[in-house]
Amino acid sequence: MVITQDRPSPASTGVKSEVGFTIDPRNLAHVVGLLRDAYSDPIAAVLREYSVNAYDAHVEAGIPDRQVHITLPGRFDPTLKIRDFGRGLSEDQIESLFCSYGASSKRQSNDYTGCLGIGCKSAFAITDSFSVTTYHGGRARTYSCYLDESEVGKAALLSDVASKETGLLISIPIKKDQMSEVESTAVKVFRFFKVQPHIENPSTKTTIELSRPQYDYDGGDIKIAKEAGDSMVIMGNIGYPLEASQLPSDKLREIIDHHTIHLHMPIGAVDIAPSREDLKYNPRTKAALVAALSKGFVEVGQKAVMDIAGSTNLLNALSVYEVVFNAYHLGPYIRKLGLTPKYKGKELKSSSLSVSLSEEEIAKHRVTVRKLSKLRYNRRGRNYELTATDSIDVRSGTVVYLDTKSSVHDFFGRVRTLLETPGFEVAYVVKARGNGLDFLRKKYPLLQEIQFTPIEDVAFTEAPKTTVNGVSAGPIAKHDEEVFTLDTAMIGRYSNKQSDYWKSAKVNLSNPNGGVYLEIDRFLINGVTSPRNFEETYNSFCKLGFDEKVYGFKPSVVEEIKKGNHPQWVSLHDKRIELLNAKIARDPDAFWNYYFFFEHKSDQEDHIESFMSEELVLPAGSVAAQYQQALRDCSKHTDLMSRCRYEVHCHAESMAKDIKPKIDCDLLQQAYNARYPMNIHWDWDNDSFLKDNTTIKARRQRNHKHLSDYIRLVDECKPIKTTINQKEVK
Amino acid sequence: MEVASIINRDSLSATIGTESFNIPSSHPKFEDIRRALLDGTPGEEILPMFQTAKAVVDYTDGAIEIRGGKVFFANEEVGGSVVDRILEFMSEKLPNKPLFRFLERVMRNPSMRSREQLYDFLEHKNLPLTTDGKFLAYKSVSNGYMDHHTGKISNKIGSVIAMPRHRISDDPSLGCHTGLHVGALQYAADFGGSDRKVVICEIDPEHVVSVPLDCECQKMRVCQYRVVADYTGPIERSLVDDYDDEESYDEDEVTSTQ
Repeated sequence: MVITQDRPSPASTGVKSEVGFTIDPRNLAHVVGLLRDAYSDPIAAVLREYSVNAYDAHVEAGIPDRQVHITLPGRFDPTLKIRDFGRGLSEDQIESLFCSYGASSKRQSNDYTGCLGIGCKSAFAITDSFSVTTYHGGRARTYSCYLDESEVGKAALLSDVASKETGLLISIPIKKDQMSEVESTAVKVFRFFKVQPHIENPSTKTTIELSRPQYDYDGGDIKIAKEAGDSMVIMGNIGYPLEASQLPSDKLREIIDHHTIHLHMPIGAVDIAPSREDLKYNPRTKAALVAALSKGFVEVGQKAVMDIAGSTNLLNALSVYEVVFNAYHLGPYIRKLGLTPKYKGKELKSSSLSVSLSEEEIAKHRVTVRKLSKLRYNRRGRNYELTATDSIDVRSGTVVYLDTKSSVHDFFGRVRTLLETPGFEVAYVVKARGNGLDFLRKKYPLLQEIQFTPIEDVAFTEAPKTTVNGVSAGPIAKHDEEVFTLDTAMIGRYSNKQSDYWKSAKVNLSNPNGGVYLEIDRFLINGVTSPRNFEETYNSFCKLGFDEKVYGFKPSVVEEIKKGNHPQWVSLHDKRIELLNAKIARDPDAFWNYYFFFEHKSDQEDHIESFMSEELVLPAGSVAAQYQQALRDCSKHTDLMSRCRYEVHCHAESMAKDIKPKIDCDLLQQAYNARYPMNIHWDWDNDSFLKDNTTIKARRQRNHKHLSDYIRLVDECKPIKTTINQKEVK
Repeated sequence: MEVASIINRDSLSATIGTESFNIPSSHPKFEDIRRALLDGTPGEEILPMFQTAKAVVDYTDGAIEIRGGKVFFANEEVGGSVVDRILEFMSEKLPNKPLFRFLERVMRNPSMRSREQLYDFLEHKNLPLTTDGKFLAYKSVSNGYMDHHTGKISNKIGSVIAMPRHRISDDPSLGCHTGLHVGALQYAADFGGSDRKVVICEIDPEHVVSVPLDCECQKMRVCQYRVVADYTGPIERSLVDDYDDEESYDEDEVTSTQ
C-alpha cells in the first residue's frame, strides 16, 4: 500500500541552528515495545498480519487466487502455522525486511495490503519467540526470531537445508489458554478476505468453514449488511470499523448510525492506524470517506431503481424497495437525490400489501392470510407461529406460500429449509380454497403481481444444518425407506431427529434366519416412544444376554409379518419374554423366592435405599435387621424381577402355579412398621426423628445411630418371642 | 541429527534434523526439552519429547489411544478436557493411576450423554482429581451449612448427600431442574447472598447426571456427592489426596490438604 506523504518541507527564515530529533539506542526497546503493544486484540493481529503478508506474497508471485494454508494450534501441537507459496525471502531480505522495524517493500504499489513494516513482528505481542522458515533459492532456512534482553529482538539461523519448495512458513507457539481463541478469532478476521485461507484444525482433523457477510442489498461499493453490527470500510482484505462520529456530514452520519454499511474502498484510499485495527481519521481519510459514501449511495439508489424496474415480479421489487427506499434515513436521502422507484411504470410508495378481510369474506371465500414468524428459542429448539394478518410486509427474501389443498402433509417439513435460513424473519401463507384466490386477487389487484409458492410443490429438501444441542440435521431421504436397523451407537445420546437413531438397511423378509424387529412409525417405537428414551430398556435386554441386531420396520412391513408369512421374524416384545423365561428357567430361585416392591416407589419407599445402606447397623436378630437383610437379598435380583413384573406372561405363570415367594418384603415391611411405630416419624432427609434441624448432627453415620438406638430400645423392652414369619404377620 | 535451538522464558524454538518445533512454556514437556537441549542430548532422544500424542499414549501405558486426532479410552472417545488433564499430570510428573481410576469411574456412568457433558464441565479450572479417581467441585451453602434451595439439607463436612438418579434430568438444555447441584469455583463463589459460604465437594464421575448449558457449563447436576472441606482458596493442583477418613476429619486437616 502506498503511504501518502502529505507533509511539505517547511520554509524557514533566520534560523540560528537546528537539532534533529533522534531515538537513543538505549530507548529503542521502549519505542519498539510501544509498536508491539499497539494491538488491542493480539491474536487477531497475528492472524491478520501474517495472512495479509502471505496474500501479498501470492500477489507478488502471480498466484493471487491460491489459498494460504493455516494450521491451528491443537492439544498435541501447540503451534499456529501460516504458510504461503510465494517466492520466499532471501537471506538479505530476512535481514533487511523481516528483521527491520518499519521496513517494507510494498509501499510502491497499492496491489499490496502491507506497508507498515511492523506486522511481521506482531507475533512478539503473544510470545517471546517464533520461527520463520523461508523456502527460497533451493534452500529451506529456519530462523528463530526471539526477544532478547534488548527487547528489540534477534533472528538466529537454526537450519539451512536443500529444498525445492518456495514460500514462507511462520510458526508461532500458542499458550494453552489462548488456543480456543485462535479459531474463533480466525472466523472473524478472514470474513472479508477475497481469497479466504484454508484452515485446518489438527485436533479434529477438520477444515474450518469460513463465512462471508450476508447482505440485504448489494449496491456495488456499498453493501447493506443483514446482520446488525458496526459499519465497516473494507480495504485490501481487511475490515476497519467506520466511526460515524468522525464523519463531517450529518446526513451520512445518520445513515451510518442506523444501518450496517460495508463500504469497499481501493487499497490506499484512506489512511490506517499502525495497529491496522482502525482508520486514521485525518482530513485526507475523512474527505475520502465522504466522497466514497456520497458516490456509493447514489450508486445504491440508481441500482435499486433499475432493479425495481427490471423485477420480474412484485415481490422482488418490493423487497428491494423495503431495504433501500423504506430504510430509515437512507430512503429519504436517496429520494432527495431525485431517484424514484417505479414498477411497471407505477411509483412504489410502500412495501406493505393490504389483505384486510372480514369474517364474512373469510367464511364465504374460504381464504385466510397468515404470517409465519419466528417466536423465540425454547428448550425444544426454535418455536414458530402462524397468526392471522391483514398485511403482507415484503422484505428481502420474503416468501408467500400458497396452500390450496385441504391438507398439506408435513407443512413444517416443507418450509423448514426457509425457517432455518440465517436471517429468516417472516413468511406468509395464503390459504385459499375454491375461488378464494380469485376473490383475493380481485379485491387486491396488486396480489396478481405476486409470485406465490405453492406449498404442495415444495419438496422435502435436505434440511439445513442446525445447532440444536450440537446435533446436525442431515438429509431426510430416510423418510421414504421402510426398513432400518437401530443404531446402537446412538443409544443414550441426544438428537432432536428421531431418524438419527436408525440406519438405512436392506432386508429380505424371506431370509430363513429372520431376526428381531421393532415397529416404528415416524421413527418412533410403536409410533409413541422416542428411541432416545430406549436406553434403559435396551440395556436391560443386554443384561438378559441379548446381543442381536434390532431392526425397525414400518407398519406396512410389520403387517406383512403378522400375516404369518415370515414366522422367523419376532418382535422385540416376544423376544423379551423368551429371554426372561429362559433366565427364570436357569435360576428359578432368584425369581420365585422373593417378592419385592421397588418398582412401586413412593416417597417413603425411596428411603429403602438408605435403610439398606451398610452404614445403618441394626441390632442382630431384630425384626428390623431381618427386614433389612431381606431387602439386601432382594436387591440382587431387582433387575430381573422388575422386568418380569411387566410381563403378563410371567405373572400369569406364577398365578397359575400358585407360587408364593419365600421372602415377601411387603409383609416384612408391615411387620417392621408394626413393631417400631416411631419409624414412620423418622425423617430420612434430615436423619432425625424431629424436623427441627438444630438437633441434626453433621455425620450421617451418627444420625443412623439414633434409629438403631430406637430399634434396640424397642427390642429390649419388648423381646421377640418367635422369629417372624409370614403367617404371624397375616 | 543436528540440533539448534533458542530457549526463551516463555517459549522455545528448535530444529532437529529437518524438523522444526516451537512450543510455549505451557507444553507438558517444556522443562524436559529445555534441559535436554541445554545438556546437549542427542536429537534422536529429544525428538520424541515433542511428539505429544505419543507421549500421552506412553504415559498412559497404551490405555489411551489416539486415532485421527481423537482420543479414546476403552474404545470410547473421551473429551478434550481429559487430554488436558493427562497433559497436566504429565507436566507435573504425577502418577497415572488416578487418571485411570477417574476414567474407569466415568465409564461406569450409565449415560453416554452424562459422560459427554462431564467432559465439558471439566474444562473449568480448579477442579482437581483425587487419587481414587473422583474429582472436587464447589457448592455454595448457608453459613449453617444448609442448602440454599430447601434450607433443609445439611452440607456439613463429611455429609453424603444423595437422591435417586432417575429423578434428575440429563437434558443439558434444562437450566433449572431437580437435582443436587455443584459447580465450578466461579459459579459457587457467585451463588447465594451474604449469608453463605463455599464448601468443597467430592464427586464420583459415576454420579454425574448433567451439565446445563446455561451458566457457561459451570454448574452440574449430580445424584450424590460428599462434602469434604470448607473452601479456603482456589485449589491450583491437578491432583489432591483422598478424603477417605471421614471420622478423622476436622478443619485443620482440611486446610492442610490444600
